[in-house]
Amino acid sequence: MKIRGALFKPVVLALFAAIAGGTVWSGDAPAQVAPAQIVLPQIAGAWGTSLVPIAGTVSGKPESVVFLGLAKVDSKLAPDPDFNRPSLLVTIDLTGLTGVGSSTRAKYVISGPELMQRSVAASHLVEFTFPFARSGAMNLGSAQSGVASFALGFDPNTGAVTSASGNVTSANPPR
Amino acid sequence: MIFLPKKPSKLRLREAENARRNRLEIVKARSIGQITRRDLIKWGIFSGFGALAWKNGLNPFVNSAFASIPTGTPRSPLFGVQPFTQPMPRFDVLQRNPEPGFLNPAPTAEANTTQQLLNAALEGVRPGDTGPIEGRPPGPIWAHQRFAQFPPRIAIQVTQEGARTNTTYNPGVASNHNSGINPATPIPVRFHPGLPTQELNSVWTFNGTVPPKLATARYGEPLLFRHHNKLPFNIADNNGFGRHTISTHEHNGHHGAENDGFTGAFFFPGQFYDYHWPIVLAGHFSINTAATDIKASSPNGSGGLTKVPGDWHETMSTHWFHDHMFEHTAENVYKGNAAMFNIYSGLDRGNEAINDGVNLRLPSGTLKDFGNLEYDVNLMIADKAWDNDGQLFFDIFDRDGFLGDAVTVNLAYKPFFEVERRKYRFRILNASVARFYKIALSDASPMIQIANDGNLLPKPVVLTQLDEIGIAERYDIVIDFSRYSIGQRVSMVNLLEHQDGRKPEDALSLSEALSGNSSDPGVGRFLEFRIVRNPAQPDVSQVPAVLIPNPDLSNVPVVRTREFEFKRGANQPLSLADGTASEGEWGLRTAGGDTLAAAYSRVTAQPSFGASNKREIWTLKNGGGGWDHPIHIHFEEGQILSRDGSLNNVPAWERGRKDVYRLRPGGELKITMQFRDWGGMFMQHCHNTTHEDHAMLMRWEINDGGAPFLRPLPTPIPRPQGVTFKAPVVLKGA
Repeated sequence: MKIRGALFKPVVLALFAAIAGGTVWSGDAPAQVAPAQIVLPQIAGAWGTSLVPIAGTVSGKPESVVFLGLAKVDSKLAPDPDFNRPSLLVTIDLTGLTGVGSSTRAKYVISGPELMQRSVAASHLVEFTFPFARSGAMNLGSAQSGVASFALGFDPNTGAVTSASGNVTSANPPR
Repeated sequence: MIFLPKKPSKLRLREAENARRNRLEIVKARSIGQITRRDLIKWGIFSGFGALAWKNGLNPFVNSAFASIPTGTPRSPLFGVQPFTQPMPRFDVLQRNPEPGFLNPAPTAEANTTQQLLNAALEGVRPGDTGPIEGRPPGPIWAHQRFAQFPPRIAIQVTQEGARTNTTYNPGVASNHNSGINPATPIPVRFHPGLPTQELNSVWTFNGTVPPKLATARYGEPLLFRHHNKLPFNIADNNGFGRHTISTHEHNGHHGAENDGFTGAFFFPGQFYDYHWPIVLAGHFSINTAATDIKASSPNGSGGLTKVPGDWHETMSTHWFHDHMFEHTAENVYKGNAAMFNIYSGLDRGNEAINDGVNLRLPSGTLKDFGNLEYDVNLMIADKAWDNDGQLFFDIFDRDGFLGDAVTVNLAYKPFFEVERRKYRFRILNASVARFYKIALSDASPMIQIANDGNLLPKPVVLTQLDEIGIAERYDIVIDFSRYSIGQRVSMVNLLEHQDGRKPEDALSLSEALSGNSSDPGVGRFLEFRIVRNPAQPDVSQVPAVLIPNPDLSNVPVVRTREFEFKRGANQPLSLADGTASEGEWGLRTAGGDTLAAAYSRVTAQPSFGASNKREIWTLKNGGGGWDHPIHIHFEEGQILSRDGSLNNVPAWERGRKDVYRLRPGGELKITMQFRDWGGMFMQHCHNTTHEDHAMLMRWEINDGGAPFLRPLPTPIPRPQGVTFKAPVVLKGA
């Protein structure tokens, strides 16, 4: 589950390229960030790591928050020698994203990661809620909720992520 | 999916119902020991892998004439009942009685072997036979350790018996904190007022009643838990499942093994068993022995603290107790042998107002010195199923792990709970057989997790979706309802979809789970909160940024490492004749040996008894990716050092102390363990109780080199006429 440091650079460059390319995040519209993830060679039963540029806005009070950064997607295929019904384990860590308050410019942070199990498939649409709060104030009284959505492609033989894109939006489920 | 879709055709429904009925006689015969698993394999009813053979009319999954997909099991009829139309009952608080003087006969260090005439309906009993009144194994080995040093000051006396109406309900709070339930109104055993009342032997609970029971204790106050077995004498009187012999495990009590609910120390109808729970901090005899550290303390009843010996970093809060009958735990726990146990301390005293610099002031209440329950709510989540008559149903043929299709909270089907606009603590217990849950609030609002298993975390963790909660795990969370307006409602939602009991299949998004489209009836809303009023008093409770840091073990030498792999395909080299060994498709492998099925007569590990000056590191491995196993290690808490080789894979909510370790499919984790204060034979097992019963369980025994505990200890073989013993088998390299 180690990320090779040398591979950070192209990702960061790709992220800035996406931003420089005119991608704009506003309102709840999902950001169209180039899927500039890293895919590490991976074998079944071992964790692999991908970094996925992600952005978006969570609208709300007291202010909307614009998030931008790299989501770390760890994945692993757990083979099932008995029934051939392996598991796909996915961990998505959004703590690499930074949020900026639209009116105060205050920094917001995300708590995480999100751990999930999925049946093995070549692709999954993954959506989960996450808590965020002003930096240094992650507590029950100040935390808010957002939604992260990912379109993830997987190598069904290894569990490695083969493609990825994602965005952040507001959480508006029915109560 | 195990259950049929919501609207199956009549033909498919009839076919599945016929299959269920056809199996009932076999289920019953197996449950009462008339036939063995080996017989079923011989007859071609079970496959060698333990699965039900694909025989038409027996297996609900056999391909039918109507479809090429499995037909599934009929869903539990709801008799027109709608979700969220009954209030959730708070737990029924067990009476704490001063001891000595309450219990008759008085508790004794060694088992009370006073003879009584036995009921001839008991198996192996002839008219005129006598046996001991207490089922605890006799003699000094099973005597309460340090009984004279920790004489019981509180006695709790309960029965285990068939369903009866509760006329003595004590919720521990006024009715306005119990959704308006009038405790004086008799409560029959049923999962909803619109569902049929359970028959006498459909449900076996503590005291025979619902709601489930809550015991309370505080550190430094030894407790004697006397459990009377009033289940039917005739083993066949079980409405198809459930074993009338029981052993009560205080999960995860730090007590001597004689009080742990060892799987082979079960007792019979007509007997009682005295469990002595000293309620001491781990490290009692080696850390803070002079009781000088104020954080190692207990409420004194009048607003102050009584210091106690031991390590305050080992303070525990949320326990539960349940049956641990060898090969029959799943049936008995499912049938109602499950209760919760709140332990109070100076740090976590259940009073949110006392500001003494020690009390963490978690949401609870203020009326009493300790143990206020107004805003400290136990939730026992368990999936159930019932037959066409509405009687509780269990399928022993399901060897992957039985799943119910009706989620209950505190044994009430999808209830509502009225809350005030303030913070509440919820002590969530997953008391299911095989179902995992992943909980969110329906509006995605944040919650804060403060404890995992019995232990407050080092730091609270803010989450909008909890991690999977495996069977027997406990998550304590705080929800702040002040963000809502009076009249609003918000629900707890299960996001985790199962296809069967092997493992969770898919973690759904909140919107998917709320859509009602999942084929798993266990997905979706299961508890509705109704915000009904402002609090009468200001909410002075807190969730501090630091709760209970872990004990620092970095300088404690590691004296042994062990590896345990939890796998399918177990062997059983021991004889099954005396009932101390089991067989089944699940097992454990250690020390490079065979994968072995459970035998409580076999000692698989002998960890070194230590005085806080030694520890062991255990590696727990899941032998495959097709299932998950929540592994429970009895007796003392552990810390997870790594998951799949890295501490980075251990999330913040697993960085406290734990007693149940979810391996995850194909996963591996390392834990550090200490073995202090008490001795004897304990267990490690999968808490998917179907896996545990068939036969993923092992005995380990604390070894101090010969004294004061014998090594290895004789294995008890309970009989109504008295317990006999046999020499144990010690696994090479144990």
